[in-house]
Amino acid sequence: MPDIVSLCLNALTLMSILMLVALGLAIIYGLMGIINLSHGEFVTIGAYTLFTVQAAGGSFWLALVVAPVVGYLLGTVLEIAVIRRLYDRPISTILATWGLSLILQQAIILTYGAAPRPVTAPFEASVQVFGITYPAYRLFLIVFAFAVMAACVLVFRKSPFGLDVRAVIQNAGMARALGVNAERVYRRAFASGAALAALAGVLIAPLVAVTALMGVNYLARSFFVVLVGGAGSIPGVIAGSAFVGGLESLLSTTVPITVAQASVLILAVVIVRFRPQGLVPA
Amino acid sequence: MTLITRRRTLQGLAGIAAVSALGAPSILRAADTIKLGFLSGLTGLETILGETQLHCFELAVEELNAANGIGGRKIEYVVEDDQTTTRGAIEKARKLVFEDEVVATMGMIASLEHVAARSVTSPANHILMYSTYYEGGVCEKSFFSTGQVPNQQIVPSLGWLTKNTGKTVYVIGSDYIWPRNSTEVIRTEIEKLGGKLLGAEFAPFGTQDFAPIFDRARAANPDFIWMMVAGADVITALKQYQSFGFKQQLFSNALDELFSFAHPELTAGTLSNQAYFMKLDTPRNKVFTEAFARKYGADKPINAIGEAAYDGVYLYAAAVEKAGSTDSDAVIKALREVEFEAPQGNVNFAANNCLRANSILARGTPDGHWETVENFGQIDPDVPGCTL
Repeated sequence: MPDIVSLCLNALTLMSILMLVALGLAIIYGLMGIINLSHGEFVTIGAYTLFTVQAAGGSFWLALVVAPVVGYLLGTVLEIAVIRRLYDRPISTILATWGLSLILQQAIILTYGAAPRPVTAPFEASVQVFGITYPAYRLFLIVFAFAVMAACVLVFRKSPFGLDVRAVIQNAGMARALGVNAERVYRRAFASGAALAALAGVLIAPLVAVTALMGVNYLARSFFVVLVGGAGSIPGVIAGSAFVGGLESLLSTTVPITVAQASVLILAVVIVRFRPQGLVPA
Repeated sequence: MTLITRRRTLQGLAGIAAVSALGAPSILRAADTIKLGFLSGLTGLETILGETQLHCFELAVEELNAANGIGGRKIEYVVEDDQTTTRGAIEKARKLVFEDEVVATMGMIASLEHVAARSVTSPANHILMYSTYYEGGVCEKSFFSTGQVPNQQIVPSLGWLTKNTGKTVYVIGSDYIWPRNSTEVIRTEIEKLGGKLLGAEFAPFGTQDFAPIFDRARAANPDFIWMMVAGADVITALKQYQSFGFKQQLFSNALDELFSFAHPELTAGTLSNQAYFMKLDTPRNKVFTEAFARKYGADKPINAIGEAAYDGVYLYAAAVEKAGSTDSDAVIKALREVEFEAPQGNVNFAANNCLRANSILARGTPDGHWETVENFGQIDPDVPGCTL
């Protein structure tokens, strides 16, 4: 029994990490169709925001508020300066965002150095859950990740902004005709995706090494999550993360972790081959 | 509109000749300098370590140039980043050897880099100097290592650990040649000491969640845990290790000042074994650390890999002076005869091209340094079955 509990909690932790990172990409890639290869760097920026805030004497919770704002502002600038000019040239976007990711990585190394930066979790303690001792921060991460997912689903289903985004994505011309400012919607959607990535960065930072290149670890997997889950669907992110993260975690209890990762990727390819629209399509 | 006339063609040819004539002195100049290659992971997994290694290499070159260069010839160098990948190491080693035509190549962190680089340098009889402690076992004429091999690092540490903490160990490492081959050494050696390797787990680069591995390690209940997770990943592993409440002693030969300066809270209390620690109290080390601090800042860490890279440049310089040429065969012969008063102490190469290096078991302190637990002194490197 304790084994099963820790098994499930481990699976939920990895799933939550992937969910948080992939959520921003689900908006930028899934909904807007932009292949943003600098997505990982927004996660890095979130983590460095946490470091900067804590170094200045601020708390984890302050960074949790500041990082999405930083991500949003940077996302807005980027959308205006680069992405907006490339909406009809998807291949150029790949090149531009890839270049951007290299620029951001080196800019962070130049500013903060190559050494990993220390950040502290809001709570270090372990707690008793269902008969096992489990790190409290991981439990917080799981709960928070699902809360963020729920909030996103609500925003997209119920808010006027969500309605505008869905309208513009379905048919930009018709949305414009009905008085929706499509350019503004794109800009805000892109910035929101960047803000979510930065938020994910803050939440992940206490668990991993904070370095300028940390974002690289998340890029490919986020795309996998979005593709397997179903591009353009927020619930798809949950399904995709459960598949990629949950399965990896469960498999790695019985086989070496390298084999587990490889098996998950092979299964993901099979799924995308036979179900190209993903597990939970939009 | 330009007409091609005989006169114009001749003018053009004269121009080319003039340019070549201008170029000629630079070739002569090149002969006056000695060109070294530096190849390491300056981006990718080993970014953290590559930067300091490069700084130590540069410091040695700068000091030599400020004195007399190598036998009166100034040293210049080409820096290449292999992105901590095998492909990068092969491509960049080819560039250094065949395009830049450097006389020797130094650096490298992860073992996958030296394996890849050797596939280029060894057939070309090009001197490759590797400055990181590693799994050992390489026996190639043109390959030199200034870091520790297992009998200088792993074996003495195992002896201390089995005596002082207990007889059983669980290994957690990254999934590549260094942790895997080192684990085989641990398995064999601990059995000789009457202990047992209870299990070994290898995580791919960039692993985000070590929880499944830690669960199994905890279930095995070893007396101590041996961690060989490489580069930035070891920080991820340590952060999660702490939250899982292990009571066992942690030993990690992947840890040094580069990690403990950044995360003293993670390294305090853990054990490591290196040939050099920054706190080493010798006059020579004082000169070294002060020179480093002047050039790069007093808050910057130096680790054993960096010190070994620094030693490598000096040893190579001494060998070229002794050989009176940069010809590989002559320098290889001389390298086995020279010695250098290094920050870690007097060092020279054994007949198997590995350095007679120190072996210092140390414990991380809360201020990010390492205090000596036991100094095993200088140990002759052992490469089984190697005669060069």
